[in-house]
Amino acid sequence: AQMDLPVLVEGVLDEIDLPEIIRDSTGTMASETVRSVRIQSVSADESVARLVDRLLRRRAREAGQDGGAELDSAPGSGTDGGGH
Amino acid sequence: MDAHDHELSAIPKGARSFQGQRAGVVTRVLAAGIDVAVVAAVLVAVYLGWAGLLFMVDPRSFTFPDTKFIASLLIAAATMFVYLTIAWAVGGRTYGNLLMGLRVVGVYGGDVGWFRAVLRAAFYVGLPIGLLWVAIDPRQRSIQDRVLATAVVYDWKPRVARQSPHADA
Repeated sequence: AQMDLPVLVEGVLDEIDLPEIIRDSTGTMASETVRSVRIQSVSADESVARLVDRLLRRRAREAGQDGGAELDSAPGSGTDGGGH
Repeated sequence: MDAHDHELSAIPKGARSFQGQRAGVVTRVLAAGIDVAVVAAVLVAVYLGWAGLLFMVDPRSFTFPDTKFIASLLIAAATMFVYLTIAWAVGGRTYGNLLMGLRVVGVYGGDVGWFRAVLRAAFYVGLPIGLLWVAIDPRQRSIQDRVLATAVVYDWKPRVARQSPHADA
């Protein structure tokens, strides 16, 4: 039987997360600490945003929507239209 | 599933979803704190270096150089201004931004550029409390971001070509 090797390789890469394995095997304590602090601060950002939204009785922010956290579209090019 | 999905990314899987999105107040305040510590460390090092030089020149009459509060504050502010300007204009990130995985971009993506970097640095040095507006603003903008049409986004890529993080989001 013939095997579709590229598809198989892509599937394996998706499953094993090769960069993660490389990071785990070569990462220093410092870089692990930095990653951990970054992740925790992102969750703290989200918690603060949720709290402020609740206090101000504002609709929760959703990424990519109006009022969301992504960058604005260029003037006249997008649907977001957030002006500054 | 397109070819992009199979690219090997340096960013952990759990962190990919928020890359390119605007950063919140906690991360930004932590980054700013690191930058303040960096500038303070540089100033202390310069002061000790100067004191060491004076000691070597004339050890007998050596005393630590006098530091005037206002003058020290002005020197610290000027150092911070130069540091922020160069860091934002050249790479879009200070050392604090780098550690916290942030990048300063134009509000529509792209570089901040020297002109906006100078204004932004002066604005932050003059009104640092403007950063706290990020917590209240629905689009996570500081007062400086609102005035100068800039944004700070999560960008964990260690070294990126100058492009809009929005394209990678």
